[in-house]
Amino acid sequence: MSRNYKILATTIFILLIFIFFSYVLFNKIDEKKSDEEFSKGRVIGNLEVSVIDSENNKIKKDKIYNYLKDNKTNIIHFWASWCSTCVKENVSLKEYIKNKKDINLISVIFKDDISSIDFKNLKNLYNINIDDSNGFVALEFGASGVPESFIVDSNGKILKHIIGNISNGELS
Amino acid sequence: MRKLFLLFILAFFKLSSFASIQPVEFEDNTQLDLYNKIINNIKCVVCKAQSIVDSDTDFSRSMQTLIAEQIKEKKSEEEITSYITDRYGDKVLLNPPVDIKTYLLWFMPIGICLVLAVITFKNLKKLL
Repeated sequence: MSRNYKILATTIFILLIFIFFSYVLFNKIDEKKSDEEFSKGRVIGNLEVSVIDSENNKIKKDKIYNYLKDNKTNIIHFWASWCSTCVKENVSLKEYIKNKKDINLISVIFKDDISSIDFKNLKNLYNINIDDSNGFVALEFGASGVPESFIVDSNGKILKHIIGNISNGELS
Repeated sequence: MRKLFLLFILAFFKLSSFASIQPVEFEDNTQLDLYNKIINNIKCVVCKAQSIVDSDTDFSRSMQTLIAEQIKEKKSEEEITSYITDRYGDKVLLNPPVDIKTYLLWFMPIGICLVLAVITFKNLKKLL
């Protein structure tokens, strides 16, 4: 009886350890989702950003809130030309938002050489391009990589955080 | 010979852990100490398993520069740390605070060790 009890106790102990590690492992897999949920509801600061004039690649300093529209879906999209996924995504995004007038797509170019970017080609895609050469805009939003996107309201409140590529389903 | 070999290996560890610190100039050593204290407690948000000192990613470098800027603006350690944890959560800290959410993290290893110690001591006779 005592031996059976010991076997039972050991089995339960091993089972508990197994459940604990499974829980940790599954939470790890869901880390992307929990990171996205964490940003929701936070209000971003009205920080000064470097806005690129697409005609002559000149930069002017302005507050980010000045570019958030009240009646549109503001999508702040972090990308870089050195990130091949981002470049491919630009093509699919262009296709998707072609007939959508209610989207205000703001591009934040993360740590990139902006002189190498063809802004004329991007003109129909992004409403504004922001140069984030020191990465401070990405840190203010709480981004942890590119491509990454944030849907914000006109008061700077984060409504949705998308890590990785934006799928068409997520936008609609 | 063994000691020499150990010293040789340790020297490499020292080099690697200071490999990606951005050269920053501060007004005094207090600011420098604060900077070193903070950057050694922040985890890289891309690679997760390293501190921003050991990591060489763009995000870690930006984080180092941002912390340096905030120290120069005379912000306190709490203000700087909470700026980062507000955006990335407590899990970005290598030394997370002990609260209800982290009790398991802090005390589970001790608990497991205690259980194992009790089991071992109870069965010590059999083992010997």
